[in-house]
Amino acid sequence: MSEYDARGKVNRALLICVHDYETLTRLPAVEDNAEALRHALTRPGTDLFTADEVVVCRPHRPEDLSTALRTAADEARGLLLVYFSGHGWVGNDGADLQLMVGASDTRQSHTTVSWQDTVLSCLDNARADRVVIVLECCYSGNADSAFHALRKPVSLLMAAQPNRRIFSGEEGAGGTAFTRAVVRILEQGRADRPFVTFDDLAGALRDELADERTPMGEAWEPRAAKQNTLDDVVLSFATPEDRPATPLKIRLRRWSNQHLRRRAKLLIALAAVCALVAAGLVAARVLTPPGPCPPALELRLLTAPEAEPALRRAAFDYEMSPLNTRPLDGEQDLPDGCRRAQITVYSAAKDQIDQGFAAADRWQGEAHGGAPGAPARSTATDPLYRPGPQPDLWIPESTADYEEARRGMPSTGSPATLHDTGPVAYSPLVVGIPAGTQLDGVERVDAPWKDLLTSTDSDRQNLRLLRPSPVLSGTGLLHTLGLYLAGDGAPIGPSGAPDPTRARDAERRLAAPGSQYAGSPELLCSLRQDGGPDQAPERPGNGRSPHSAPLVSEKSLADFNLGHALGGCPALDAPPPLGDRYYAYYPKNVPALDHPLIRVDWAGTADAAPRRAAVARFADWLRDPAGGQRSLTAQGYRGLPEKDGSAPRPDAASPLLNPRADTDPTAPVTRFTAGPDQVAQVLADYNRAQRASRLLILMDTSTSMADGGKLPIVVGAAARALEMVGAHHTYGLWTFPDPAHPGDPAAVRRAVPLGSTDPAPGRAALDRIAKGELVDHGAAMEEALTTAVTEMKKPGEGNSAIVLLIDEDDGGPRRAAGVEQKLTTLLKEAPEVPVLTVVMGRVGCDTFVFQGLARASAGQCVSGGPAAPDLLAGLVASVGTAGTVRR
Amino acid sequence: MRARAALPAAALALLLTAAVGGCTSGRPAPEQGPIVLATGSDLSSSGVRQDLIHAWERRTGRTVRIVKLPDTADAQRSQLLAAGQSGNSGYDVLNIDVAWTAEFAAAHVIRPWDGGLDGDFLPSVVKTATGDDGKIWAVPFNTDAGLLYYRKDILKKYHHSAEPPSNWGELKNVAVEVTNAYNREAARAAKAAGKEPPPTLYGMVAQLRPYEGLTVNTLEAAWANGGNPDATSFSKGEQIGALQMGVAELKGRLDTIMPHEATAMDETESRRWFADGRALFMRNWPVEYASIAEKLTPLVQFDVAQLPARPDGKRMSVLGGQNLAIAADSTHPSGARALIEALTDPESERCLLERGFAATRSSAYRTAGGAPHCPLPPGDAQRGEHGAGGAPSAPPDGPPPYTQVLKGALLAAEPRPRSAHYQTFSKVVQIRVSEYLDSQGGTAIADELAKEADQALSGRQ
Repeated sequence: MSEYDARGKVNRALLICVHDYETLTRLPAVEDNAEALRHALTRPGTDLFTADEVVVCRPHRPEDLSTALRTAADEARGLLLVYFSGHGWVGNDGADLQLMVGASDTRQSHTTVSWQDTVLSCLDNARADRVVIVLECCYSGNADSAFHALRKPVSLLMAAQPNRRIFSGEEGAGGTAFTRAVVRILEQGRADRPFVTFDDLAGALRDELADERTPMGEAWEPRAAKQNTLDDVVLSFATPEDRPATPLKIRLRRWSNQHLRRRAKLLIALAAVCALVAAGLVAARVLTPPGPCPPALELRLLTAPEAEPALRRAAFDYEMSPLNTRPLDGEQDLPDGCRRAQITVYSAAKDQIDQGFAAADRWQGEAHGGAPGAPARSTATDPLYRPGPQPDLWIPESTADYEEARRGMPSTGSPATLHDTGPVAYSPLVVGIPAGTQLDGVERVDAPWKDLLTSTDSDRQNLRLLRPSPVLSGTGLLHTLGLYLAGDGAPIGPSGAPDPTRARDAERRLAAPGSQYAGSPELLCSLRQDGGPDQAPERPGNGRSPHSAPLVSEKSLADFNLGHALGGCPALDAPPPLGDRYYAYYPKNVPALDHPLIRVDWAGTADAAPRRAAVARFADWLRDPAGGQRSLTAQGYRGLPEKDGSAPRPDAASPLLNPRADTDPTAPVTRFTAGPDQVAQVLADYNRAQRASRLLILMDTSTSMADGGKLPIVVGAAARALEMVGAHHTYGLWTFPDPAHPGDPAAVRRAVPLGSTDPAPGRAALDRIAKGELVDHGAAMEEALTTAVTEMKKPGEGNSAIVLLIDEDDGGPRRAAGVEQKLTTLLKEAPEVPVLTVVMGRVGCDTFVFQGLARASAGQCVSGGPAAPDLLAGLVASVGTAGTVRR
Repeated sequence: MRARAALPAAALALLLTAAVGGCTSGRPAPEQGPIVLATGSDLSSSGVRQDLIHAWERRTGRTVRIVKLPDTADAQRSQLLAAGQSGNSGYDVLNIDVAWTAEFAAAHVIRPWDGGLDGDFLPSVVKTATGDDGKIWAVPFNTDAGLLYYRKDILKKYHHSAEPPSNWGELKNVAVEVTNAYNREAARAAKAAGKEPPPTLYGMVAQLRPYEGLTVNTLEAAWANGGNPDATSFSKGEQIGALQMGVAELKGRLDTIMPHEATAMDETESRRWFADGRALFMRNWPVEYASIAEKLTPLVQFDVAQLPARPDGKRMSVLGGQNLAIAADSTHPSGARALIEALTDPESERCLLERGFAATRSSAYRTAGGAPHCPLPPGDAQRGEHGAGGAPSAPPDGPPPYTQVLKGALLAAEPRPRSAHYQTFSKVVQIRVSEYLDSQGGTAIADELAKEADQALSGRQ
């Protein structure tokens, strides 16, 4: 909490002390309160008010009090302290506290001072930064309620709790017990505190008065309240310790407050203006307030979902740094101090980014209806929709992603040009091994992949290796590259070709339905134990930590172990217990994620020069140890090597140094050395290691899908699944109910026949559905699914899976006996055909039917929502890997 | 090559525009080619806004090409602004979030809207189309105001009154009292039946994930604590403390009546919690009404009210919604203007209201006889649109049941700070407030936050 320090400002303390009453009991002790307080507040040790800033007021008529109050409120600019010591009175209902002045009579309201109507309304117009009020009177605790209507930042100290009178003022001379305690605290300070704040005073008073009693015999408790502020206010700089000298600046300001009267100030200001005018144009420029700042240049930063939060934070730090106010090359002149660039960070899956760059002409030319000769709209992707804006800079997870994207771009004619400016941050790749598991004879750092594979296999620890999809995620791709090229622990040479046997062996270990995820956040989020039992069914894989070993990056694993937010999983209150964490194992010579910064130039851009300059400056800042490196390493990344090439040790702010991160900050960072051909080869081997696959997308197109925004999500999920198909991975798109056979619940409409390789007809069909081609019948899910499963169980090449997109099963009421039984039996027959379901309806995956479907078919269920398309994509990407080994 | 070809075309278009402006006699050459509308929300596939566009195409014989932008608002803004700054967007009409109007105007990526807006537009909504300079820069298309969703059935049973709380303090007290009683009874019933207890009922859910929704919730909390929506600074005069108190109140609510998961919730996720029966109250937009109505019975199990009031009785929500503006580098400005006028005329606004959007014109909210007639064929009403509520719960030819509550909320709602640097302000709020919400202690961030917020809004360091 910050403390407001009023020293050197124009402050006022108004000490209102009433001891001489006409009709009420006189309060002799109060008479001395004023002097004691004035002395305490102005003594050098207290160091807050100067002598002329403290005003004592002993009002006889109400006007005396209100006039003094108004004057103080007008004059104070820093702190206004109002202290009332005298009689207080309330009505029968305890409301409307009245302060009593000398002539006050409780029976005549015009003779009293209303706390609410007079005091508060006057203070509400005060010009001070902070107002502190101390009320030492009976019923002072009742001041609390009306006080909350104030609009100024005010702190209120009440001598007692509500509806209490106090013994005070009748003690004889020498000040009241309460004020004596206040004076003591302000003069002596508090042990181990450099000053006394409002909160300190309130707390100390409670201690001092702990033994006192109210006239009703209860404890006497001073109360404190604040309105419009959470800050604390310093009321005295007294301390029992050595007090530092008052800073010169404050002494000078005080001197000027005291000695330079308003007229003198005005004269000096005029003289200064004259002097400046005389000084000519330069001075004139100084005096002119800088003009308003136009919006900064907008930069679009594309990255991977894993890196998005860290880069967003770093980009914000840059935006708010002084470096961002310096002029850029080629930029028009801006007023001084204006921010030059603003950066929007967004992310997309790797395959979508690749598709975007491959179709950069569409990305740029969307508004013009696409490049000439491009296929019709309904059959092509919308790069602006996904991956999103045309990036000015792209920071993929590794150089392998960049190489892959470049390979997919046309060699000439693309409006986008990519410039690799080199890495900005590293994160070594790791395998997370459940903390309770011992891998015999395997070191945590620098063990070759082959030893890790052996020690985790079914004969030993029997761990299930989980990897983000190499197609969808940069981490997945680089892990695959490490497995294939550095499997034996030897460094990756520039020309080494992957050994196809090793690829096959590795993929055999990673082969299981749902063993792949769209990215590390999805993977780790699904492993987080406390996702809640009701969340579990919708998490693909349902991998539970004791049996799973995630292949991720050091940074992601540290985030998991430290309980940080991961994708859709919110941050935990504390790191999970050791039993739920994973130890990081660092496979030897596997390259680390290197996050290269790629500048993207777009042809025909009017502001190309300042845009390039803005990217270059941000890139320099990201690599600056005092700039972006600090921000990125504080979020768990490894920094760039020092000038001598040595790897920097994570600095003190790095989460990697937290023992509960279970990572090893001394593990080496292996640079990326593979060439473009090797990346291509790895992907080719990966594709070869997968089996051919057949996907049947079975979609509920009943009219209920149109309600409540379900249709765009379900069409988006189907479109995302279509992005996974190709020559090796064929598909079909069927819909139900079938409008041609309204009486047959088992009938389906074969919109795109099974075995198709071109996604275009599928996209066209989805477009028609999105535009409202729906059927006004109930959707009989089990019957339609039976038709689909029967077809898919027929012998065919490779693995098969069904993607079922369903709102709700409407077939129940008219369902013939035995349909469900038949379906379940069919699902369990060989060959396995996993059903991957996306449920849009109200029940989500939480029903017996959908859980049963997933179980019987070895499939998964995903509840419809914004994350559904990417979760489904991860599942579909695993179809080809499943069953590379017969199970 | 394409870009080079585009430059002379743009120059020609500029000449044409200049000629139109300079000539008083003779007719301008008709514009050629489709009008390009860049839009984020799902305007491209189905729904009432798409139907209105088709109706205009049929009426005028012109075509509209829709450029579909990403789902997230940040990414939409980034593309529209950067492409506008680079001068090669090719867009004619921009469908923009109301919070961006001032920035887009100051960056000269949209054109001023000549002739102003007629008096039928709701005054609060007109503010969102007005730039720093007081000029009108866009036309309000659809608007939005935050509402308090509440479980009427549970309140009735455990609070003996189905009335929603009238102020934020009362909301917190009612939430604690009702959820305690409800959860106790649910646990007892489950135990008696030998079942697992149902999920805990929380007092409230709202949008506290670090994104624009958090800025909206923070502003509403600051206003509820005396903040002035028209103020341009958070560290001067009466504004001091409002942001501070608002943020502290948000954290207070999070720590007492909200699930921890609220810090990862957006509109959709909070709606799911509420519709799944896991929250008693929810702050959300009316667009979520229809989805909730699929799971809970409207007016019986749940209902909506204006947000709770602050001490002076004002109930203030942030205004949401979209404005339509003409792109500065549009090559079809007349067609763009005609399209925008048609999409925002009284009949179109009535269609929007009937299909679950919040209309921007007062006339749309008139009761049956006095309201303009929506010319779209009724068959289209069956189709919902992402971003629109109401469809299933609405009577076939009338506005949805929450219409009058919504109108009240809209009249009292206020725009977010209208600044060319609003986005940076919002980032500051998102980063600082979410740090504070995630922190364990009660560290006050407020003075720092207010200072940084002012810095962000000024465009300077």
